[in-house]
Amino acid sequence: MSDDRATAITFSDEQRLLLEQSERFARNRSGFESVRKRIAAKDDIDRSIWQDIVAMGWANLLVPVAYGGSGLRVDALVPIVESAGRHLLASPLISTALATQLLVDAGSRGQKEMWLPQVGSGSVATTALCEPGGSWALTEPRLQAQCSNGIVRLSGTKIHVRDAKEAQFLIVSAMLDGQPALVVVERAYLRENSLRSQIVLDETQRCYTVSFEEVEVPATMVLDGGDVVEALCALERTGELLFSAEMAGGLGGALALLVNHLTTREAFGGPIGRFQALKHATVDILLDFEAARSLVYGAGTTIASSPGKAASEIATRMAKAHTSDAFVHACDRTIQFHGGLGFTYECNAQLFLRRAMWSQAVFGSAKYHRQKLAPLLLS
Amino acid sequence: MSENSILPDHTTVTAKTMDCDEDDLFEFRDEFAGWLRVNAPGKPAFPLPETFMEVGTDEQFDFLSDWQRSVYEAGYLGVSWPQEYGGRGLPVEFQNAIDLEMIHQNVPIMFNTIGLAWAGPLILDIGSERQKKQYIRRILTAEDVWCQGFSEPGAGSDLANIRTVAVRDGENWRINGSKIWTTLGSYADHMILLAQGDSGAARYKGLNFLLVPMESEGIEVRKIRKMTGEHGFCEVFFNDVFVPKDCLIGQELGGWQVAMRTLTYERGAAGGQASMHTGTRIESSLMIEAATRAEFDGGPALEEPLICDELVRLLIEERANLLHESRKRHSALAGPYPTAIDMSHKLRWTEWNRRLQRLAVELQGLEGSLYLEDPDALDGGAWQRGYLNSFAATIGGGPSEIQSNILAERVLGLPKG
Repeated sequence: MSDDRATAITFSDEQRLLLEQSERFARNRSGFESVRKRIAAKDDIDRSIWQDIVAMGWANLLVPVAYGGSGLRVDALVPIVESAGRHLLASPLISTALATQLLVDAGSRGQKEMWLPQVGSGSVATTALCEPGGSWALTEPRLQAQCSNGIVRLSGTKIHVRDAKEAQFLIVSAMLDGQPALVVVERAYLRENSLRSQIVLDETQRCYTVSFEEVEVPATMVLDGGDVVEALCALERTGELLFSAEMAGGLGGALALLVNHLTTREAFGGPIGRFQALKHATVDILLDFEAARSLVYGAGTTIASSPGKAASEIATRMAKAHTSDAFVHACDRTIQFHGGLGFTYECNAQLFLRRAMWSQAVFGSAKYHRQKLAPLLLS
Repeated sequence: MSENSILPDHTTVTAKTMDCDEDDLFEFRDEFAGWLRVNAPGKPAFPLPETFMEVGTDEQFDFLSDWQRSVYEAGYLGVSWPQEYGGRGLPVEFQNAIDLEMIHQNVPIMFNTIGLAWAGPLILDIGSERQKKQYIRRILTAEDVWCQGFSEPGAGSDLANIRTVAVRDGENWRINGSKIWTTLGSYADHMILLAQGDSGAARYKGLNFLLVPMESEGIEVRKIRKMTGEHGFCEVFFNDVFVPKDCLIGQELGGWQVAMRTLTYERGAAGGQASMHTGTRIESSLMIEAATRAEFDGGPALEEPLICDELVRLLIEERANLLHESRKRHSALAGPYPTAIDMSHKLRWTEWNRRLQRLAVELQGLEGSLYLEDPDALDGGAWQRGYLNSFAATIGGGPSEIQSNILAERVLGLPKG
């Protein structure tokens, strides 16, 4: 805590513009009605939203300039993802950004030239890193890869692969010759019926188990331009950051819904927001929301200034630990304070609660991160 | 304006937000850090007060007066106050940087808090030229110590309900009544006093705000013993006390507005407070260091997962509170509740501090049952005392529950109860 630079937030004009633009976009394009339409569409994503995201250049933000992208750091995505979270706008943006980062960190020049421009032109990409058992640490995959005669043969299953159905390529972690490796699998290489749509709490999400049994790809698909373990560690940090940002936004959205209810719902002769029991609990949520934003933008600043592994790890784990608990708690109270209506499918509060519970499970829950933080902070 | 809350409506606050270079700030803080390392006083033989509310003995008072004066003379106190009255005329962020470094190095407090944080900014803001010349520099040097006369036995959070009266009597004000929880009351040279005028107007519409010399005849000060067993607060009785007409500050019967105004200086209005190193919070690093020496159930406290979990929670909260100070300087990141960070400052830090101190006692295991001066107590029982004292800040200056009401109504726009 002694380093005051660890508690400084930088926020560029560029980020400010992205925040304004994305807030406007998410508000206009992701009202509760559109969110419910997306839910009803089951397996599909909203193509027009993704096309607009690509057109605004957001899919291309992390792609280096040399490969036709904007070459920005991950903190540029934070305001966008926060706005999306606030309005429950779901898109393959985070999936694509995480895949992009793995390519940038671990791909060779030729591999980057092959896939990064595709991202810029609107291809969805995703990462396939989680496995049955649900370990949040990504550096020791169990999915096996064997290489012979220039062919890599995969064996195993990945779970929780977001947006797999839309993805033009997936980046898969595997054990190759006893070392963690990253393999790019284009969708043409997947076998038939290898995707199973997972039924997840947050119905706006598209999430799959993917079987890589007997999938064979050329050995040139194995990323060989950087340290894979470091790339996976960095990916954990970015995942923690982006999902924290999305949750901070969602927390703000839930709070707005709650405040609106407390000021409009009347009982015992006036708006129920005049009762202290509700006021004080709502102020606790407000303070959680403010803390979430500061931790998220603080972590964005830290990770973008590359101060070394420990500082980044502390910052993003703190953000994920806080937002995971705080977002669920805010939604839990929002449901409760809506009374009987809050218990219904019709009430929009459930959309936030389901999002919160989904998000806390992705890239590590609060207790997991606090457990990881203890040795970093207390020794 | 609400009559039962003690914070001003945020729409009336014009906080001074001056753009200043972060690098200049870091450099200034580094320079001050270097000065502190050479000049901070060593620990005296007697226990020092942890907050400005704990000054209970003459030796504590003398020690803290000398220390404050030396910080001022080195140029590090009141740096955001105007040069003509003894300050340095810098942006308020520079004073904040000093406060943070003092907390970080855990040096003794700037104890003249009512002068530095309330009376001083108020006099600079709306005082007469005579008052500025007479009082400001002596607040910084600690030649004049100030206390505050707001609360009464029958009016704490419900401040507008006070009964002490200050009415015109010829060229003077005549004061009768009593005040309670008066920090530094037995050492103070002056008091900022809120009292009913003689308008007959109800509650907050009829108050006068006076600067009262404590040596005035008819003032009696009695010390109050706190639950820690120590002294620190006083009760002050006024029995036909006469003070000159020009002791009034602000408009006659405009005392409530003046009182509200004093609460805006925390946000940097009118040059802000000359120091907030009042000891109402500490850095967690001190507590973690103590925890490394604590034993819990026969083993190191920091090997207990549940204790570690609670500690990590508090560290995350501390990080967020520190980051707030930087985030609020980016107006684009201040919405949708732009006043939330400033208006929740007291609530966040005082509640955090209370919980930190309580955990610091629990993690001592069986020894957590010991108290001040027991030879076996960790750090002489300082954490136990710290926890008991932490309530001074969660109750004083508007208790946490009132703070929550204010935030609900002013920041979130919830209806009044």
